[in-house]
Amino acid sequence: MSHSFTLKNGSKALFNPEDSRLSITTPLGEVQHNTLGRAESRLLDLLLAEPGVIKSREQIIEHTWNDRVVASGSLNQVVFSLRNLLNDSRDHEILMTIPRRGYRFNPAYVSAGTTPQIQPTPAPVELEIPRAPAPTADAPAPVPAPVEPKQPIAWLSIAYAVTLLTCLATLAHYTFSAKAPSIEVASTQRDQLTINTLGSSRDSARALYTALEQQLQDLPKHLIGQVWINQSRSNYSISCIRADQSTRNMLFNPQQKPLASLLAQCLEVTL
Amino acid sequence: MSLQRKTAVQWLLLSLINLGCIGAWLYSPVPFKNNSNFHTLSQQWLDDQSQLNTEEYLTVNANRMTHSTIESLNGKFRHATLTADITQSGNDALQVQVVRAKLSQDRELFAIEKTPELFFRRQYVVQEGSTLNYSLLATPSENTLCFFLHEMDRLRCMNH
Repeated sequence: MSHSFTLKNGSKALFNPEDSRLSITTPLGEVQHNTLGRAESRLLDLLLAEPGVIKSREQIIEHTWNDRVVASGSLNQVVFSLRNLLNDSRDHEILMTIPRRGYRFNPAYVSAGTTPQIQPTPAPVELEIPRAPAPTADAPAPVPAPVEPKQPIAWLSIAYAVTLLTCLATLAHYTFSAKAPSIEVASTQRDQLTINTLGSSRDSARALYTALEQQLQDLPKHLIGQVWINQSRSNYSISCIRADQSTRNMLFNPQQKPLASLLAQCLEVTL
Repeated sequence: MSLQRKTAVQWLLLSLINLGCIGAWLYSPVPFKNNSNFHTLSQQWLDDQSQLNTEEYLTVNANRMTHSTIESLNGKFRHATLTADITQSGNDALQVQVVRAKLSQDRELFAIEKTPELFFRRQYVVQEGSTLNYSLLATPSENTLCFFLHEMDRLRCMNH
């Protein structure tokens, strides 16, 4: 009979004791096949047969090694290896140590019923059980409360997607000014009058001022304020902010009206 | 670093990035946070030397603008009101979408057929759904507003 359970990162695990095959399916759908060593396989089978039930060290040794005499560290080594494989080496939430009593498999991680067999892949990955590090399986530790299995990886993927969308929206918001149609302004100060000429580029804005410079020589010296000048085909449009902050706008053909006199009219406050 | 710690670090970073983005949105510059009213007078000399006078009012806030115009020529009047939603805004640019255009009469006060370019531009502007782009020009005080409306090739300065 196969046993199915969940790992802390949301992966689904399916253990088949008959061929010692442990298949782990990640939240992204990747399947990893591992063949457990004989002792690891028998230990996992024993604990999963009755999840939540404490198995003493003697029971485990009897079941796992068939009463053979084994070194005292062998069980620690097997537990250590199994925890590494189940990504449980840090907090021992899945394969729990019950101080002075033994071990049990946390039932909160066991899936209800048996899961259909996962299709084997042509080249399963053989488990390499680490042997070098010192076993810590017997280290006394407080019994953690059983927790509901979570799927942090799946939620994290959603968070990444949301963050990406937020960043793109913010970027679009801030690049609007750069993408929007623009108009360039060239400014020239004449006494208390600021003359701004407009153009599609800075050069064309300056060129417009140069073209108008001779006509602007006729401007009275006493004018105060700001004026914007734009040329659209054969017409000029001028907009003025007068000294009293009132505004005027004019559109005319320079063949009909002289620029300087209209500028003066545009800027002079009517009494 | 354990998986749990890596995951926690990722959550923390993602939270900070999202908070930064939301903060940037909330504190991004909005040209007109509250209702602002501007008005101005304009004069246009037509080909026949007649003078078309225009009085304009603009009410604008962060979401919507309403531009009302009264034209007068030889004792005849025509008024138009354009309402538009502000779709995008920046420090020096504004993009709006026309949601409603109301004209007192379809007939123009002057022979607009002599200036077909102006005719077609006006037709575009009064269509609901048209997008209009404004470039905001820097002015010496907040009492004044100067802009260039690209779709109309129109330069305007207005004041409170």
